[in-house]
Amino acid sequence: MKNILTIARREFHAYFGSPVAYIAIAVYLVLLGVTFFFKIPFLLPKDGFFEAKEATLRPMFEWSIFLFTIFLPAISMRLLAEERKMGTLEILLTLPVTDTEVVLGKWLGAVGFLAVAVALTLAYPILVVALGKPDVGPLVGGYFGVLLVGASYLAVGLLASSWTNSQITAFIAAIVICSFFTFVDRVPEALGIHAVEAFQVMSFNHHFRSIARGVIDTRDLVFFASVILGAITLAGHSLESRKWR
Amino acid sequence: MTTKTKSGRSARTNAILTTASVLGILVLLNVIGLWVFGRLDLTDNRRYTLSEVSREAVRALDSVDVQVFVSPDLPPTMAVGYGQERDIRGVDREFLDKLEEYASYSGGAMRITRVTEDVEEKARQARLELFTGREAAVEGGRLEFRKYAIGATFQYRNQMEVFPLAVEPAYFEFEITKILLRLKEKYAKSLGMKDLLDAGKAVAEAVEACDKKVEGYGKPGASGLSAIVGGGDRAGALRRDRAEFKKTCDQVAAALAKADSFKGKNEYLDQLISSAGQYAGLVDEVGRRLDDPQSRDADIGAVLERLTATGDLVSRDHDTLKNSPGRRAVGFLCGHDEFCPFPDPQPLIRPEIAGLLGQRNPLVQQFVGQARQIEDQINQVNEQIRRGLFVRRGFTVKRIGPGEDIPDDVAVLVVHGPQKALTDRDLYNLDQFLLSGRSLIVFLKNWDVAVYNIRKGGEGLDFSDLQFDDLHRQATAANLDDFLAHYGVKANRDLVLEPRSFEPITILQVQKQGQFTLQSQRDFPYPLLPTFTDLDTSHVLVRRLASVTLPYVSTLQVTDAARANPGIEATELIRSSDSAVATADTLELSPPRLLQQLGLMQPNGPHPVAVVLKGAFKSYFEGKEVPKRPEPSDKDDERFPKPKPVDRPFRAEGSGRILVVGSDLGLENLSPRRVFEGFEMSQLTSGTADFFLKLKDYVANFQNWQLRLTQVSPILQANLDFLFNCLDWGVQDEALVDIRSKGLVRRPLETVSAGAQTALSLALIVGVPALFVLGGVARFVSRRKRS
Amino acid sequence: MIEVEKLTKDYGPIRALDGVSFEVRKGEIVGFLGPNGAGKTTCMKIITGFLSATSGTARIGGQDVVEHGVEVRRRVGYLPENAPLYPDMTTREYLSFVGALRGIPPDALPDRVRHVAETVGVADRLEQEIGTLSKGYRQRVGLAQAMIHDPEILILDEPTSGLDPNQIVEIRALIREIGRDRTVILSTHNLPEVTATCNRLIIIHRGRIAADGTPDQIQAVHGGGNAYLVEVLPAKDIRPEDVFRGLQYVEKVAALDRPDTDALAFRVEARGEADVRADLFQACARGGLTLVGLRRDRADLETIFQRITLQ
Repeated sequence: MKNILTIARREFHAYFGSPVAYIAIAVYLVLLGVTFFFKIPFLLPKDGFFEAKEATLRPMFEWSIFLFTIFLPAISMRLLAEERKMGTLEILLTLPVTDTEVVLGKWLGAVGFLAVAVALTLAYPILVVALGKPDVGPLVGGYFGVLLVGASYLAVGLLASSWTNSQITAFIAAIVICSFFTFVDRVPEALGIHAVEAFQVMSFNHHFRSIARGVIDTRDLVFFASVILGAITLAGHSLESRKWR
Repeated sequence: MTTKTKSGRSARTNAILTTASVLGILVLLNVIGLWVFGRLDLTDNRRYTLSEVSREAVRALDSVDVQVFVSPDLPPTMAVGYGQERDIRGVDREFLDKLEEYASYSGGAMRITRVTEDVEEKARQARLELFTGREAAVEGGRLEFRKYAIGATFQYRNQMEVFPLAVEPAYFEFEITKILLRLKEKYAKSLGMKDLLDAGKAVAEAVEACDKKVEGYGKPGASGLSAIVGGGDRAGALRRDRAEFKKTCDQVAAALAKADSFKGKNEYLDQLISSAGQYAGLVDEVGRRLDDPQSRDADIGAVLERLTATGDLVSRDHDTLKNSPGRRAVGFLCGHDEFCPFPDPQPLIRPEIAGLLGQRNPLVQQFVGQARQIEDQINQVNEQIRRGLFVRRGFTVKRIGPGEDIPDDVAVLVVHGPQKALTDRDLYNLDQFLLSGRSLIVFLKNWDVAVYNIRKGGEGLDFSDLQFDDLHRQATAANLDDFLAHYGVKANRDLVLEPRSFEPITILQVQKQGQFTLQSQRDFPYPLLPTFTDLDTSHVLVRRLASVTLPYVSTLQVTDAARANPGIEATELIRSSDSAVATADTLELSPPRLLQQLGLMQPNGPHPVAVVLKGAFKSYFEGKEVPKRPEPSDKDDERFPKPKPVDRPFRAEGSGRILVVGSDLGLENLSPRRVFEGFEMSQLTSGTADFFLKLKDYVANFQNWQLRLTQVSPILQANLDFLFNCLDWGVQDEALVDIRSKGLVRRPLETVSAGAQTALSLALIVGVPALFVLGGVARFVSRRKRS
Repeated sequence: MIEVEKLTKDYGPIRALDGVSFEVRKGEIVGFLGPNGAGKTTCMKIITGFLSATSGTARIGGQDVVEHGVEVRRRVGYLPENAPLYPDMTTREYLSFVGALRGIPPDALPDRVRHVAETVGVADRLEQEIGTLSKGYRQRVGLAQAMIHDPEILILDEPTSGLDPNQIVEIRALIREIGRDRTVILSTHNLPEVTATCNRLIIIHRGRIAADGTPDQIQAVHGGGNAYLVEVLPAKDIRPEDVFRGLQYVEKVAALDRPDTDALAFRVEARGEADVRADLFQACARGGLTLVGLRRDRADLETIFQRITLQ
């Protein structure tokens, strides 16, 4: 556990050691703000915050998830691919730590980064509480859901990063996988309701919505925990498989 | 090699096995999780958790059989209205989950079975509401849209309730609990009237048996021609089986004879007896025709069709009777230009007179035709409101005409924004109703405000006549002030403006550009639609609400007398903020000017705008003469024969409940009498054509009603729910108020000036990221300095 | 200390290591010598647990590197080729990071970092980002991270590659210094490095061990046997060949053509291992030959290395 935290801490500092992190977070915040406040014909057809006049952060959470499908793969792509390319992985893996500790630590560090990005959106709930009486449940649930989805994206991104030493490849692979599992609930109705529901069960969006209502359901928790653990296990496996190649 | 060798290959196999088993366990956990799960509801109202009321409701029943009808191939969406679709994915799952949740609290008393075969057909028989999908198939030469079912029936002892169409998860708990409470109550109440119900049942069963018999002779055709052809076959079969037919169907008359002893004791049984009487008459007619060798087969066929149709009627009346025990009705006072969701029972122009007049004057004929059309439309709208809003939500609503006595089964009386004065007799009826321990709900409409109307008297009748300059504010002629003040609520003739929290008004704008007329809706901030957040959450009516928006609302006051009276419990349900302005001054009603004007006014809040009084009251008519019942007009007598009313002894005091709200919630009256404002029959005979020019005003009146509804449309739904809460509270189903409110809390934002909006959005869009990046730069700089 | 048994490693169809076995005792400084692609790095990666062998075992202190991976790695310090370090961290941050993962308690860590930085000579670069350090300093930081936990065993892959001659000298001195109380394996394809720092040499070629031993032993085995170059002045009537041939321990005598000098030169091969220079001196004196030059004739390591690796 101590080793995991040590690695996580390094990973976390590594993000903020480069300007890329600041730019990524700033871009995320600006895009989020624009989608939250503005109504742009065709692009953002829904009413902005002040037009809708609803004391809710639901749109912000949903946009976060959407932006995360691109933003978080960009964050996770370097986790293992870069170390591989630079060879630093060799030192890391010959330290007295297990491969599992390494992937967990890397993931945790990235989650820390995610937490900072999400924490910077806390101005929104403050705004909503100042101007209305929001239901606290969906607010808490929404943040919890956003973190869970984000953590899942990062686990998937870590997995993609473990496959290759090219960051771009990892980035694109992660976007494809994350988008697929997020938007798979929008499969065509023509497949019939059973197929639609089956896809829903594996869709991030579906489980996110359930939590964002303000209900913490073990089914959703188990789902996200499984995605994260599954991706991390696979990433650990793909890291270990270097030994036999 | 003596030591144990761990070759790379076996380690590799191990690793693959480990990974595979971890993934397998995770999948397994998810599958198990589908059955074993728990959840934590974080929402303010515990929206997604069964409330105590619901749990008690299901525990109170020792055996409930639930039959669930869900089409196995539900489509992902269902059509609602024109071209709109509602996403119903996962609704069936949620419905079943919800039922399971009830079952888990029932201690095994609630059994759920799923109908798996012929779901739609069985659902139809169980009186579920089927909905139409988009998929169509050719059946019997016709294009038939596929129908789907999602609902359930609940059986408790001999009582049955139906959840006809379960597609709104937010209301599942409300509907199910309501059904459970109703089952219990219906059963308890039906015990006391068992004989009466049995008699009704015997009649209905006799009719059903006869119906079955008739059906055995063949199905009637759909169209007229095939009815004649088919009728021949049926009549033939009937002739051959004549004796059996008589033996079966004469049972109807026998059952009726037995039921006759209960006549006059229950209005629903009376209705059933009347329709079953008709049925018996038709049975006789069939018998006579069969006896008459000269009668044609086609004629017999026609009678048989009427017989079947009447059979349906009987069965529906029996359902009503079965459902009647313990049902509590909601009365709406009508006839004073108040919101009254019923078709007007009296036509504006009586058809026989219209016919006479029309013969003499073609212009009159044209007028009468058009007026009838408008009137029909109005009645249709009212009928839709009655069914769609009230009947669908399980309320039994009754129209209480001016001067009419209030029936005993009315548990709550709503006086919703009268604009004309009530007669003394009306007030007397309200007074006695209140003192009998029941609930009186008064929505005031002190002002008739029109912000943006179609100007009357214009040439054309299109929306291009929409004008701001036609806005007016007019005091209504309502005369409830004294009456209410007597019990303890003083209603002021003013209007409340909230400078900080209010809703926009939706204005339909029409522009003419050449040949085209462009319609657009635009929202203007409008402080005359104030949103109140100071709610007395200790009261069940607003406990679960976050805010209430009341259009054109006047202030109320609990009188000192009522405050001093220990027998009266007064609750200021809704109050304005401190910064609110209540004023009787003339207001500039156009939105931009009103905002300007509001800026110059001094706040004088807080003001109560909704008040509940509960306790022992003295009669308003104490020491006064009891007003006489109005003479029945001859029209009434002719068309609606009514039993002679019985005078009841005067109550000088009694306890009851009054809820007064200083606004009409935006629900305006729509009645032919209001639309045909100022119309007199005499105009038609005056010889001038003035009446014809007025027609345009009447159309404008009708359209303006629609416009005014649109103007407040953003708040209408929430206010309707508030109204339903009031009704539930009124019929003493307070438990349900709690559940209903769970799902529909509106959470509006305070109104923010455009400048502040820009500032806030810029701060969040640019400010926060900029600060963060600056922090990063600072960190870089300090790092560089250190090294 | 380190026991390697029949280590074989296949990269797909390519066999990188083919049954390599050797043992390293405590306190030895072993140099892996071999051309690029000979399998030196692969062998090191297997010992450090970064890779798994296809077959065979490696044990450190009696513990299998696969089964007891973490324990074994705790006792080893490893510097991979080119010293791959995180460029965005300062030297102190990096050394603290590795130290923490090496299990050094947090309160002892700062002292340890300073100590090791002084040892390798980067104490003045502690606050500098590694990305901005020169190659020599980076190599030193790499060494520092490998020995931050004071390991019994140091494994250094090409510790001097890419350095300028001065830096090479410094690093070699450093390794010698470190190696005084530790077991060190270092790999190189640079011969002087081995002779300068190592007391044992393993030449790996095409995945096999081609030579193993101290430089002397290797020269003895691979350097052309027990031969001597003998120079005598010409003398009448005496044929030096006969004098040498008459000696019982002499195997073979060959005259060498030396036009640059008046003396006659001979290459004398002796039987056995023993040094026979004293005997030869006396034999010349007895035979009346004036001896002007006598030395052992051996291929130098470079020649031996070339001979082995060009086969």
